[in-house]
Amino acid sequence: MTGDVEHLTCKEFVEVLTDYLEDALDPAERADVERHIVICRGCSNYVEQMRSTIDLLGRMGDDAADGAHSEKLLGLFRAWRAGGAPT
Amino acid sequence: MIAYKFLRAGRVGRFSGVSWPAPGEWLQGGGGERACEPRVHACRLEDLPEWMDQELWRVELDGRVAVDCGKLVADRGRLVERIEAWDAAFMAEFAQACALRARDCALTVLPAGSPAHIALAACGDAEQLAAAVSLLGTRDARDERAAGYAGDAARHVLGARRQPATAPVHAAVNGFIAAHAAAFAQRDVSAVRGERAWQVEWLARRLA
Repeated sequence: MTGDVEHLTCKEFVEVLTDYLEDALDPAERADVERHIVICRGCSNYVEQMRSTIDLLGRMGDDAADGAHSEKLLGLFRAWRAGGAPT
Repeated sequence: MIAYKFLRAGRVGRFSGVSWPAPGEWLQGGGGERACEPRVHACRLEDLPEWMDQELWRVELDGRVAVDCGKLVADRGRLVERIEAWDAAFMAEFAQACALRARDCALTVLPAGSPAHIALAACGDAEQLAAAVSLLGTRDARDERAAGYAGDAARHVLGARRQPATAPVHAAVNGFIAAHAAAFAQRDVSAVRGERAWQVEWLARRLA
């Protein structure tokens, strides 16, 4: 897909967003994503939120949660993966 | 070489988040071999309609400069001067010019002499166009779509005027809408390029 004759849809944008943020797209795909960001406020906001989240999580250290809270969260996650209702 | 650069308010790169230094100071790219690795990106005149943002600058590019994926990539660049004419009012004006172009495309689709054709032909600005399209009662899907492009574009003009901070998006969207309205009216995707060329000429005239 090049230029704006065929334009990325919002659905396609979301499908490739992770690759975009991880810089895993080739230059033409990257340009298509960025063209979409220019004309779509919703997707532009979405990518900004994703970047903010990545930035915030990246700044968290191992000491950000104490052991008890980590264990509780992991327990909830394991229950969710096992199909059980969280408690 | 001298090129153009769109930035967010405060000289910030839209996609990179990089804060450009003050005019005259070089911004060095990462020096990668791939075109889209961290290098300085800029626009040729013909690239402007697709990359609009709040600030428009003239930039000087240096080192390896190449055209890639609808933009210029260079080893380094520096801001030369901000183009003061590029403001929210200018963007709204561009958006309106595109809306009227989309209207002109619709006029080639709507049956001549029909109420819809007469109503759209009488519109001289975005307000009139938005009102006229909202009152149309066409049942033909092709007519409806052609008029719909014009109506959508008219509403984006009103959006740009209501919220000046969002004017870059509305202006860029209307360039996109007008290009696709042309392709739809002519049943030819290559019409997109012709409409984009018209937009570039409009911008060149106004920014000269």
